[in-house]
Amino acid sequence: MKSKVEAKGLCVSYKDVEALSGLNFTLEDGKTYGLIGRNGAGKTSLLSLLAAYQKETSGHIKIDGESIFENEKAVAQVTFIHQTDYKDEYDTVNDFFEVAERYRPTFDRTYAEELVERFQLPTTKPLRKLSTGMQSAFNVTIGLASRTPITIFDEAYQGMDVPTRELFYQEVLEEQARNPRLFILSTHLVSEMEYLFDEVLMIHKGKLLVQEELDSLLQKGFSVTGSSGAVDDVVAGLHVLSEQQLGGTKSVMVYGELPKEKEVDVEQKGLEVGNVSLHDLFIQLTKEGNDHHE
Amino acid sequence: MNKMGKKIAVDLYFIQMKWVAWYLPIVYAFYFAVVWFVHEPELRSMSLLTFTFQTATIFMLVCGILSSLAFLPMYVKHGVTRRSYFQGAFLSSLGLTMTIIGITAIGTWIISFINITVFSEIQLSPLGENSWLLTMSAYFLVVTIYFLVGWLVGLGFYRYGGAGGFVTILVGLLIVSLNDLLWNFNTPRPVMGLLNLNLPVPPIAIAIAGSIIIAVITTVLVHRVVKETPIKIA
Repeated sequence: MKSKVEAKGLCVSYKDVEALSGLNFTLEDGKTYGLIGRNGAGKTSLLSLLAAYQKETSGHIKIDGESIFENEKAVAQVTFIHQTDYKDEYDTVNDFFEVAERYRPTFDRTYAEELVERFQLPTTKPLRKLSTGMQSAFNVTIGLASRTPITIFDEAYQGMDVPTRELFYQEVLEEQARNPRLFILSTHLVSEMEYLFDEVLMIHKGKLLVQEELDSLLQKGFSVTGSSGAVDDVVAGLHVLSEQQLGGTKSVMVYGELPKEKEVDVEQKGLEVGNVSLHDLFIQLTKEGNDHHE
Repeated sequence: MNKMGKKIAVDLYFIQMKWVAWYLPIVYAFYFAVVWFVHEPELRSMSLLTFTFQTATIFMLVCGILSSLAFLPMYVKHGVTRRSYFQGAFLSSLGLTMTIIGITAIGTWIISFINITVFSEIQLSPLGENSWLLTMSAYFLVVTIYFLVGWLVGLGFYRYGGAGGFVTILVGLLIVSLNDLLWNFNTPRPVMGLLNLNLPVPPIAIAIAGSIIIAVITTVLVHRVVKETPIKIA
């Protein structure tokens, strides 16, 4: 598949602080990407480059092979939804729809109004009077209904209750089926949103730690549980992410595949091999001291 | 000028015209009250155009500040380049200034036919009787410069924060003070007003040329600041 977004040696610095250093990746049309990373990892910096909110310090990021910053064709393709401060906003949901309709040729007003009903948003109240969860639902509505080829949701769920979040996730899935595009979902709610991702980008301290299809990423980690000594023997020489011990039983999380020659060992020693979740992998891979790089 | 820039110019013009629709009637009412009730010769000789011009400088300064703080982030969020925003905002400000001065000039002209004592002492502007075109052009230039200064200061604060914003205030003060030296219109000019410089007012041609140069330099400054301004995520 042709790549839609391409980054090479992408760097961003703020004064002396390097927020992103040397990122290389490509993103494809029609896929939903999960962008995960700890606080301050550089997620928002990366997304703001994609949305032309700022210019890269060095390297490049391109859409359809063209630089993004100040490029009319490229910027018109991106909608970047992030938490927005509406405390001084006197305009209503309808007012915002009018602006979106005027400047986003792909904005679907009918769909936006459907979403408003589903999220039960008041359309004539000034946005400042809406609760945080409702403001987030409004942001999400704009993002979904804009139907731009690249739609980014950066922790767009702030303040939403569980049913509203579920509704949002459902809409992302359905929109991806109806109007395929490139979605990027940046999130801290890894386990809750995992099922939406086709591919995962994990960023840590301004560097790209992992870019992989979700399924194959999950296969890259496994856990071994059993008697302490036996577990230690099996995992010796492997990339151990974490250990938990309870009495004589030990559970170890390993990154990478279980070597063939060890499979017999595992069976003989009666150890249990289990899956790990993206949530666990994320925690362990980005833990202080775990400087794993692809 | 690109298509998007023109579209933004039209939209911003109409958005700001809603403010003008409030501002002008209030200024006019205030003018008539002053001419009617205040027996100050200097005020009674002031035309509606000159009176409105004085307040339009501050009105457009505020429009300039708001343009950077409100419209720039809004447009970039909607997938518009800073270049198109810059073109649109600039063009809309010219249109706005022309409208304010045009409407007021028509009002002033109509008043000149009203034959009552309170209006008998009115002089169009310090530039002379019946100097309509010159007065309108000069006022247009000066008001535009105030807009540009407001725009520069707003962008300065948006892009560079407190310290950098303060520098743009100083630059802005310098710009409006220099411009007032060319015209001596008594436009709002803090600091320089205190210095009480008694420099001779240059000939009109030099004043016009000087103002155009000041306007161009300020526009270039605004463009420099705006072209790579990062948008805040908030």
